[in-house]
Amino acid sequence: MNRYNRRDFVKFMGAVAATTPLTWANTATAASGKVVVVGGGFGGATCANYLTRWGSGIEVTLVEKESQFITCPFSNEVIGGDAELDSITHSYDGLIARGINVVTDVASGIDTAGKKVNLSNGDALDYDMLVVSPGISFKWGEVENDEEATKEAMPHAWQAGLQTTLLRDQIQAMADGGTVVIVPPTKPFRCPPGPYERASLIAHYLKNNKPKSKILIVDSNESHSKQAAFQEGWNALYGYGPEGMIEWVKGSEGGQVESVDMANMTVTSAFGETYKGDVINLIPHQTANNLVHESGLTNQDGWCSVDQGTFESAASKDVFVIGDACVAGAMPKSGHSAASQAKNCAAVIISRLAGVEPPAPTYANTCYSLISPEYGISVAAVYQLQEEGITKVSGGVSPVEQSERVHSKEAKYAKAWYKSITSDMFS
Amino acid sequence: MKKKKFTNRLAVITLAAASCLTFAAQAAEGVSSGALLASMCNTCHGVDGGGSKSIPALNDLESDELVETMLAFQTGEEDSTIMNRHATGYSEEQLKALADYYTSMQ
Repeated sequence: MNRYNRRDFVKFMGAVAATTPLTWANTATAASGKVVVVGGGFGGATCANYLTRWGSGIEVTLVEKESQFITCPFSNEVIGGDAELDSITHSYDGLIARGINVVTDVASGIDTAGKKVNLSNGDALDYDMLVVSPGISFKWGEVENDEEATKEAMPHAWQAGLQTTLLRDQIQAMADGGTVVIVPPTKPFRCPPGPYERASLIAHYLKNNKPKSKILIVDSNESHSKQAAFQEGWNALYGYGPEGMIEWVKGSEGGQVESVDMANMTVTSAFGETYKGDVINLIPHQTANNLVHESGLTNQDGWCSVDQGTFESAASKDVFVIGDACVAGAMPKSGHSAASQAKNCAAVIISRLAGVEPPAPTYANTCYSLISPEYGISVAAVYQLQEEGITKVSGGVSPVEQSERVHSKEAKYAKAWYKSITSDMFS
Repeated sequence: MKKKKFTNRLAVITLAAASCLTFAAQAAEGVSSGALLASMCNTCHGVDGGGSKSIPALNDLESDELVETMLAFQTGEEDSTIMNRHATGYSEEQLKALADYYTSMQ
C-alpha cells in the first residue's frame, strides 16, 4: 500500500525545521531594514532606542548635530539658579552601546524620491524608512528685530545650552528692584507651560535674592497652560497682580508685542505701549524646523500633517514625522508627547518591516511644572485614535486648593519623571 | 496507486507548510499591545518599569495587583496626585494586557 507513514512525516518536518531561519526560533522580531532617524531629542532618541529595544534586525542610524543633548525640561531650574547645566546634559554613548549608528552632523536635506538623507559633510544616508523629529525653528520677524535681539540682548533660552546660562547670568547681574520682562510666543509653540514655569523659578530666585524686583509677562495669548494652578501658586508664593511680584498682561489688554528696541531695552505692543526691562526674555514665534519646510513635508500652517495612527507623513510615503514638528491632534508640543509618539512610530515601523499588524496605538502626556523647587503642578492625559484624530480620553491639570503636601509630592515626582524619561531615552 | 501516493505526499507538504506559517506568524510578532501600553507607563515608571526615585516600579507587581490598583485610582478609592488622571484613560481589557505584559517579564 502506498501511503505515507509516521517516519516519512517526521523526516519531512525535520527537513523543514533545518531550513527554518533562526530568527523564527527566537522571540525577537523578524523585521529587518535600514531606518534613519533625524533629530536626537525627546522624539528621535526615544524612537532610535525603541527600534533597537523591540527589533533586532534593524539597522538604525541617528543623525544629530550636537554631540550631547541638553534638555529644555529643567532648564528653567538652571535659569533660576537651582541647578547646573551639567545636570541637564546627556551623552549619546548609551545609544551607541545599543548598536545605533550615531552620526554627529546636520541633515542638510531629504531626498524623498531617492530615499536619502543628505548631510552637510557631503555624505548621504540611504533609508528604507525615515523618522524625522527635528523640533522647531523660530519664525523670525514676527516681532520686529527679534532675530538680532535674542542673540544676546534679549535671550530666548528656548533651545537649551549657552542661551540658558546667558539668561541666568543676566538675571544674577541685575540689581535689586529691577524688572524681568518675559515675552511668550503666540500659540502653538513648543512647551506650552514653559514661559510660566520660567516666571515661577525666576520669581523664586528674586524672592530669595532681590526681593524688590518684579516680573512682567507680556503675552500675546489670551490664556495659558495650567493657568488657574499657576496663578494660585504665584499668589501663594510670590504675590500675583500689580501689588505682587508677578504680573501677566494678556493679548487683548496690551500683551501683543510687535517690536523690540535693544538699545533702550524695551518691548512695544500693538497698542503702542512700551514696557521696559532690565532683563528681557524674548521667546520668538515658532514653526516646524526648517528641514521639513525645505523637504516639502509641511502644510499651509507650517507644521507637518501626518496619519495620526502611524505618524507617516501625508506628503511622503515611508517618511514619519514625530514631536513638535508634527500635527498630533490633541497632544501638546512637549517632550513627553514626542517620546510617546516615538514609541508608537517605532512599533509601526517594526511591524511594517516584519510584515505583521502593528498594535493599536495608545498615547499619553505628562508634564510637570515647578512653581518653586518644592511646589509642583502637573497636566496629564491619555489619548486614543478616533475618527477625528488623536483625541484626549482622560486627564487634566492639578486641581486648585490642594494641600502643601500634594504640591511637595508633585515636585518630587517631577524630578523622578525627569530621571525616568532621560534614562528611557538614552540608556 | 501513484496518484494516491502523490496526493498523500501533497497533503503532508501542505500540512507541514501550514504548520510552518503558523509557527512563523507566532515567532515573527512585531510589538504586542501589552508592550506598547507598558512603554507609555515606563516614561515615568522607569526603564522596563523598574521605577524612578519616588515613582514606584511596576515590573514586580502581581498581575491582579496592577489591575486592582488602577481600577481603584479610577474610582478614587486609592488616593493619588496624578494617577487618577491616567487610570481613567484605560479600559479593563487594556489594564489586563498591561498587567500580563509586566508579569510575563518577571
